[in-house]
Amino acid sequence: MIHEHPLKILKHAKNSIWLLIFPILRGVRTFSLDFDAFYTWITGGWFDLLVLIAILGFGYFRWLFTWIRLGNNHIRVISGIFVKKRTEIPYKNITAVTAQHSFYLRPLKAVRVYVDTAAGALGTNDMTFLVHRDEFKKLQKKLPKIKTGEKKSFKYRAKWYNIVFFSFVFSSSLSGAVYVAALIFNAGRIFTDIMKDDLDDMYKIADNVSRNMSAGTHVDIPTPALILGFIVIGTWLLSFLANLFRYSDFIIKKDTHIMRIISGAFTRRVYHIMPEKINYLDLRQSFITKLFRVSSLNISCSGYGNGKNELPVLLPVLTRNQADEALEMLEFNKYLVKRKVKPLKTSVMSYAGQPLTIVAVILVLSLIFIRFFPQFAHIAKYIAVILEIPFIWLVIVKLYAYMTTGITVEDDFCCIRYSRFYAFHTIMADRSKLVKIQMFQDIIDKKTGRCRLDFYFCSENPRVHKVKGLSVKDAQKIIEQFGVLEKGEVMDEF
Amino acid sequence: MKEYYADKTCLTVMRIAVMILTVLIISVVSYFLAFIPIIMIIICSVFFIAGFFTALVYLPVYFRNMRYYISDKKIVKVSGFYFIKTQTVKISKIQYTTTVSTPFARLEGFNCIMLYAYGGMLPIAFVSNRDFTEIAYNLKV
Repeated sequence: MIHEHPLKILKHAKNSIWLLIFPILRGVRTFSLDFDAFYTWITGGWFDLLVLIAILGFGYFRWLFTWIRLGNNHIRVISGIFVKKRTEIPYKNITAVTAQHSFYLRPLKAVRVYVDTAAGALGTNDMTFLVHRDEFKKLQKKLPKIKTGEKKSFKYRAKWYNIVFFSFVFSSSLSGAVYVAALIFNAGRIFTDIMKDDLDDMYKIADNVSRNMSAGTHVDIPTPALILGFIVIGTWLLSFLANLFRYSDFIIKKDTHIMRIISGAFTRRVYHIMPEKINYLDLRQSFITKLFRVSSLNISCSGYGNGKNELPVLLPVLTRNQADEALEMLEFNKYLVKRKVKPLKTSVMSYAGQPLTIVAVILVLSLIFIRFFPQFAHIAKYIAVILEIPFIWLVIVKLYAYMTTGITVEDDFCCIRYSRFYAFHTIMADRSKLVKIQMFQDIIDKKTGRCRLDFYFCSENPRVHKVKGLSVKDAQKIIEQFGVLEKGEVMDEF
Repeated sequence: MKEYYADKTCLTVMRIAVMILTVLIISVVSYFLAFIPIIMIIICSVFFIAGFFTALVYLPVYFRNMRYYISDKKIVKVSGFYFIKTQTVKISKIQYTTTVSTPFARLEGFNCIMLYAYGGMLPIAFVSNRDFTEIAYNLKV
């Protein structure tokens, strides 16, 4: 049986901090510049001291009544003075154990430990405690060890430029931030010019703006637009720095029993992940990285990357060869196979239809606006073009997605390639990890014999993987392969 | 498959607690709203009806309907007041457990075992202390 780190007393004491209201009230009551009043306040100091002792006492007793027991088969945390709470997690059910060495806890040799299983409330850790580093080592001994030098073990250290590139690309959508900032700066500038000058000078303004934009000369931008633009860029910059510090010095070590991920500059995090508890691997790419054959490898595992501002990244930036190598080391190389089931040739519109419609709607709306408000034609054109670009880009992405989407179900695994907004995903999972499969048809799909398949895999945060434009026949075959339907059973008869 | 029922002592304690709370609320309302008698009477009546309905109708029926069936393979919980809900969890799918017990659990039966499984949690509450110990012992996941 072990106690938490004594620092926890302060954390527990924090809950009784409201008791300080009494010394404050006493101080307010006796507050005066008079010496006698000061003397009265000082002589009553024993009361304030008593309250402080009570606050620390509550913290101490809560700490004293909290125990951690590392049994042979399970870890148990017992807490509570009057109401006893006892949480018990068997080692075999642990999916991830995270040790967080915050920079302010390191000198005190304290480690914050998070224990997770596949169950529990969304986005929360199943067990959390603060212990001395030596006590954490005892828990580490209970987890499967990394045996270096074994045939199936490997170690990967991400290069610093990979981390910078990864943080740059995945920091709250770089392209989105730059785009919004540019929109705000330029829209603000054009709007100011319109307001300043007469309507007759509209064409001159347009010429000036275009000349200034190309020459890079100084143009007045209204302060609100400037502030908004800087907020957007500033937010992205903060996200970029946070990611850079979080993923700096990224190391991954893997053995057949356990995988250890170490990362972080100020706060060092050590994740111990049980490989057999990984729900699926997700090879993520954007359109540009797909063209350059670069990807990042993410995993779905309870306890890793589920927190706020966390990305479930396993290997940040990989070239095609590195990705193949990494998958081989993770024993997932056989999962990456060519697609056997592809979308129907007639289903192009299932992919490009929605963004194309938005492109057309923006165009029509801007034309109507210009017709009724010709004095704002220039800014309307500018905003229309700015809004059109991401959707035209989305049309290109979706057309490419149509050419790369597909599903393969082999003996005991599956490989699903699909696109979600601008991102391309390749999901590699064991067939047994599938929890739900859903066939979706709208009226047009029903008439043309097409459908969409939605896949749900075991995961703490349920996420759907949608593959559009499949023929009903192929979809039923896939469902049969997953063992959901018996041979001869037809999905649309239910 | 063994059957467990909600503890009747717990029901009595809860009924007394609800009645005391109702009386307290009614007293406070009648003291502070005495200057507007109509509103005071309406609010007091609402609390009176709600309190006595909970203590005399809702809780007894809820406790009567609540039962657990536990075997080596699964746990079935039946509960509800008007709509009866049956929840089944496979023991092999339970990932971890949390037990909560109050200081006088031996007397009033305020015990709870939370079973965390894939995708949800099943609470086993208001069982007698003897049943609580037995279930907690048998559920070594």
